[in-house]
Amino acid sequence: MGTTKNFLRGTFFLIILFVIFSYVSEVFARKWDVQKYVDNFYEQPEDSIDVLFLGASGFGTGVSPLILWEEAGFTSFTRAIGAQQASMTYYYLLESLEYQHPDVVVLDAYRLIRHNKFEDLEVSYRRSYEPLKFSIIKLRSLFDITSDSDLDTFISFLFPFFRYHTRWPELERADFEFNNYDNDYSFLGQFPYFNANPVEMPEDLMAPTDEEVEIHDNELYYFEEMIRICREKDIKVFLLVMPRLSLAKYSEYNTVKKFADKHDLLFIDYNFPELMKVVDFNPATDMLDQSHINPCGAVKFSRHLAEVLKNNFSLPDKRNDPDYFQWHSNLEKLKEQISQNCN
Amino acid sequence: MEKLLGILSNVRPDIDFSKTNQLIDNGVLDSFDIVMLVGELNEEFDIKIGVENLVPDNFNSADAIMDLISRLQNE
Amino acid sequence: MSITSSIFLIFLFFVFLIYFLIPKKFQWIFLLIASYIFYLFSGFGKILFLLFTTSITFFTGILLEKTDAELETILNNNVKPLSKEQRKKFKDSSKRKKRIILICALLLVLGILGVPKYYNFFAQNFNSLANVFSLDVDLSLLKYLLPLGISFYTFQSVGYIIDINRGKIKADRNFAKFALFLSFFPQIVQGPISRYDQLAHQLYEPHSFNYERVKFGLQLMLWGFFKKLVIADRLSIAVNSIFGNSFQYEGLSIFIGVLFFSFQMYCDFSGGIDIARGIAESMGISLVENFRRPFFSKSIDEYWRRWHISLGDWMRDYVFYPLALSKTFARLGKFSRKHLGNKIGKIIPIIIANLITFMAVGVWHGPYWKYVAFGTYYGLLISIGLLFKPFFQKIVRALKINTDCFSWRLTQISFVFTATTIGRYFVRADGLRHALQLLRQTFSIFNPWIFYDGTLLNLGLRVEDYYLLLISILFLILLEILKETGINIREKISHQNLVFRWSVYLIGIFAVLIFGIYGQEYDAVEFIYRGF
Repeated sequence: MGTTKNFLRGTFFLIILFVIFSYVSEVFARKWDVQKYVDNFYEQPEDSIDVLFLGASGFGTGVSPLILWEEAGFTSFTRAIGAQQASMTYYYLLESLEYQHPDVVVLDAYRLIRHNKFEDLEVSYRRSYEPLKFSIIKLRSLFDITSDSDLDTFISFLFPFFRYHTRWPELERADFEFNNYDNDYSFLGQFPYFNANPVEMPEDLMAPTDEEVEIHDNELYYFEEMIRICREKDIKVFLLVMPRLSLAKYSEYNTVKKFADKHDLLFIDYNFPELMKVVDFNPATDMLDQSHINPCGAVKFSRHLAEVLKNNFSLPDKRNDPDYFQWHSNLEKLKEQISQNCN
Repeated sequence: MEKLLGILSNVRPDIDFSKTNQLIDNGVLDSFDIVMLVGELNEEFDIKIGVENLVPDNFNSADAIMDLISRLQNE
Repeated sequence: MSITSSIFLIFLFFVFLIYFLIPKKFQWIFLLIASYIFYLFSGFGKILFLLFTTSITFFTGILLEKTDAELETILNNNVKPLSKEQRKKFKDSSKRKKRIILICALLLVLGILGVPKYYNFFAQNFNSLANVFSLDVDLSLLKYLLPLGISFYTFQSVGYIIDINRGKIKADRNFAKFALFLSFFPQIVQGPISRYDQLAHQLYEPHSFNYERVKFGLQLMLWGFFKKLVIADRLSIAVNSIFGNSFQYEGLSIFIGVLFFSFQMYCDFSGGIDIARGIAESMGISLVENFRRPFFSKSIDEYWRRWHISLGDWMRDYVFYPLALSKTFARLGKFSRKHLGNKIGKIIPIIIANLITFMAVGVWHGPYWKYVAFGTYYGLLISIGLLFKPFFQKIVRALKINTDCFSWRLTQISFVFTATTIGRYFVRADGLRHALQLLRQTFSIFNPWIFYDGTLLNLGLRVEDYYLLLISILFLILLEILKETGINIREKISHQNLVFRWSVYLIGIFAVLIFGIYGQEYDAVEFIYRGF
């Protein structure tokens, strides 16, 4: 009958429309630098990661899973996205647990006390949200982060095309070759930025004080949720703060320490000059910018961190495990870069 | 009818009213033509064409106008 | 809700879905509910205005018919036949009664439109005048936002009442049905202003889902979205830059601004109308055209028959004709024919009626002197055209100008285009003084170097935007030329093969999605900056 034919035609047209729309969306989507780290996580064999690091740029620049491997033989991954909000870290945790069953989860406690202004949140959210594979958890995060926004914002997250369609005059080759990054990336989430910008060690770094800072309700909620979920799944939680030099404050340490004690969690803050001395940290060569260390510095801190983790948690040593042979070759690649760029 | 055609050609000398049939519907006569025409028709035929008579059916052709005039004269 | 907003599209989706799924006899009720929901989105309080006008108009119609019915009864159903004198007395008193009802209704309905719309205008001018005479008067101004569509639905209701009075239509006896006639959501935002005999029955009749018709309706909507989102909203960026800082610009820069504004205005208004008509068409309802390729007009009065047609027609039927055919104007005609000779004297009443009508058109647009000037400008232009028509024709004949060729047509079109562009100064400027200032600035200098020195790239548009505009406007002009020669675009497409048709639809849809001005502007630098 005419109606059925028309209905089928209409449906078929809509299908074609949807297919083309998906393609066009991919072309217009912003190609995030962090996409390769996110994809690298999905490439890891199921249940192969022992320690999961979750946080923001402090972790991405400061933690080196391959050095941890070299020192202690356990596998780890740094799921870090620059300026990631605690809410997205929570969903990253949920999603990670669909693929991995780590023994330890390390949380970036800097994100506990750091509270971004609302206007700055969009980029942070998108950078964390968009690279993820489509999943129910990703959808849940979508509803969460747009819960205080209007309908148009929600639609622009659900269909990023509507946020990026104005890019049409700036499209380039990379946009049409979706996997425009170096497929060779294999540093388990560590950011491979090998620059060194000499920074002066601030005087009075972490000068003691009794003051504390505020933990906002939002961050508090998600951190407590993450701790709760890990507890439920018998996963140990460890709070860590990587060096950020002049931005670091003793008052922030106080606050996190109180929180860590309340939840009976191990907490290390690498901003203390004493610890920096222990690892032989040199701000003239080990800093990427004013507040992030580079891989040269990451090596030093990670060697120390490996000991901390080994001594506090029971973690396997897989250096002789043939299933993890790939880690040795990845380590070699990293060490080659390190020897080229660090003294 | 002769009188009518004379008046019509006075208003719009460029149109052959014996042949054209969709004067309003095709926009041949515009609102100014209509008003001028009505003024003349009222004078010449001693009738009173009101706004309610200004519908396409009454003005689409010379015959239609003639009918309108006859009707109004008989009221 | 804006008709180009996402919430409206979602609303529309559900309206279509429900409209075609419910039993046909409930369709009009559903349309009424949907229209009122749509109206409520613009504010709860404003709906009282709509209800007020609806009620007054509805009951006036019935009252007028009742008066007629009473007259019928008296004249026909009398045991004792009436004398001619008595019949006349009853007819006259009935006519008087109807006139009173009519005037009261018009005062109320036009008053509820006029007072909020024009009070401030009168108060301000009254204050200024009082100041001139050193009188210590200061009328306070109202702070007000007009109810959505009030200028449109009020005129629609006035037309209805007058049509009943003229015996052209019968009053609607169903309040709910009548409420739909005034509130029908596709047309309430910006028209077209419909007539009862054209629209009402379509709203109440059942409509089944017709695939062809829905396809055509959606295509018309797509075209409207293209004109609005790709062309109009893009041009408005440059136009707003120029007019927002008009003191920085002179000569051709301002002219470009007004030129852009002409295209913006046409694409925005006709685009919105296309969306409205496309929505209605999908539901089986035909709304009258509001634009018929106005830039092809060969004369100014033709322009006003092609631009905002429903307003022009309304003014003609309810202002111009009643004025021009009234007793007063007939007397005026006699007077002027006596003193100015037959040829010119005949035209005087028409010219005056026309001038008044155009001033009404001007003022309808808004309570500003610039709109008074706007209306007067066109009124005068057309009047001069009428007065000097035989004179111009003589000149054309004397100069042996060929009026049957393309170049003459082009000349006429250029003249009309120039005249209407000047008219648009009054629309876009902030006020009458600003408009005159802008005109002065335009002619103060001839500066074609603005096309080379980067001025145009400082208006908020990039080079790519200009290319896009050029292609889009050329495409628009091409389609308009085809339509002017009588080709029905949508039908022509429907006769082509499937691959061609679907390609056209898909290209159109993605052109709007990609190039439309909506959502946030993406700034790569900002994205990087807001990173850490």
